Amino acid sequence: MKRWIMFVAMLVPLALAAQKSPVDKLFEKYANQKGFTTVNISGKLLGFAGKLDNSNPETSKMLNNLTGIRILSVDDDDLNKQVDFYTELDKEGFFKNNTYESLMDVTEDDQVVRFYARETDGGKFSELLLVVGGKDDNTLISIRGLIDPENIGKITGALDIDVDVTKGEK
Amino acid sequence: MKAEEAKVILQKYFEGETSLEEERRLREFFRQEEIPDGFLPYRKWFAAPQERGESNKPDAFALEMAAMISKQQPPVRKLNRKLILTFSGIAASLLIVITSMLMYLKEPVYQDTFSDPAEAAAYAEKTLLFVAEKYNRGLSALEPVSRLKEEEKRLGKNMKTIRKGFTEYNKIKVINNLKVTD
Repeated sequence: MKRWIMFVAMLVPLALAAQKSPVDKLFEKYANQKGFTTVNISGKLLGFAGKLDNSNPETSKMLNNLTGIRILSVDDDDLNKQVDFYTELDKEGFFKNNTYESLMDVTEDDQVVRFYARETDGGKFSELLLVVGGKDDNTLISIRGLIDPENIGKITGALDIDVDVTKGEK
Repeated sequence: MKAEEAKVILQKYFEGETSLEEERRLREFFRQEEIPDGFLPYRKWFAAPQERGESNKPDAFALEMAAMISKQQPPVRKLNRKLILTFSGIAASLLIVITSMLMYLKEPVYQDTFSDPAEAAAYAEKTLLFVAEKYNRGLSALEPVSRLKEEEKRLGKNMKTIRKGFTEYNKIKVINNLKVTD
């Protein structure tokens, strides 16, 4: 009996280690697949980017504090009708047992942007996750690092530009 | 047992080749009162200790020496095999848990899409702008709520002044009533 308990106790952490977060699973599932665009920017490159960009101090400050940006989007119109990242995350149990906190849903004419964040000390985020869904949109944006929610607003406030990263060009 | 046979077995005995049964038979042979003269010098090998004039009891000196030796010797620590197994099991489990936790907490490494930092900077900025734009749009929807809270706070301040006024008025009213009764 004791041996069995020991065996199970040894297997549990192995199973835990083998378990990936639903977000990682989704990125791995569709990375380099036809009709999908995957963009990875490492913390090292973001550090360089922060030094290169001097136009907005808030942007370069934020870039310096990031450890990675990952974007996954569907380019193909037919695939867009079949794939829904929000539903897939739900299937993977993202909403049942995740460590992300739902921040808000921004609903516009034909697009819904759902914000999720993993909080860290001092009201800051360690990861900001955006699940963009809609008629022609299916995008997952994961930004990792130390993110101050107040700085996010300052970026757009300074530049006041309307951009759409979900229309991938890579 | 005949003397001839006893001689053969005795020879075997001194060569260390006798079986237990043969030794028992030898002892039996030497226990006889009358044995051939040639065997007499070997009798004491097979006689009982008492017959050899020896005592089974250890003497006082031997006992004292044994006690002294045992006192000087450090106590032998007996390691329980079961205990060793349990502890090594726990240690192994802890090692696996710690390794697994480190593996779990370690952030996955992905290959960079860009090799040019300028290109990466442009894309990262574009992404942040998109995120910020949507974030602010969401927050702007909450603006009326925060304005409502501000108004509520201001109203609460005014209500406090009015309430204070009423309290003062009631005090004056009480004083006036006192004058009338006088």
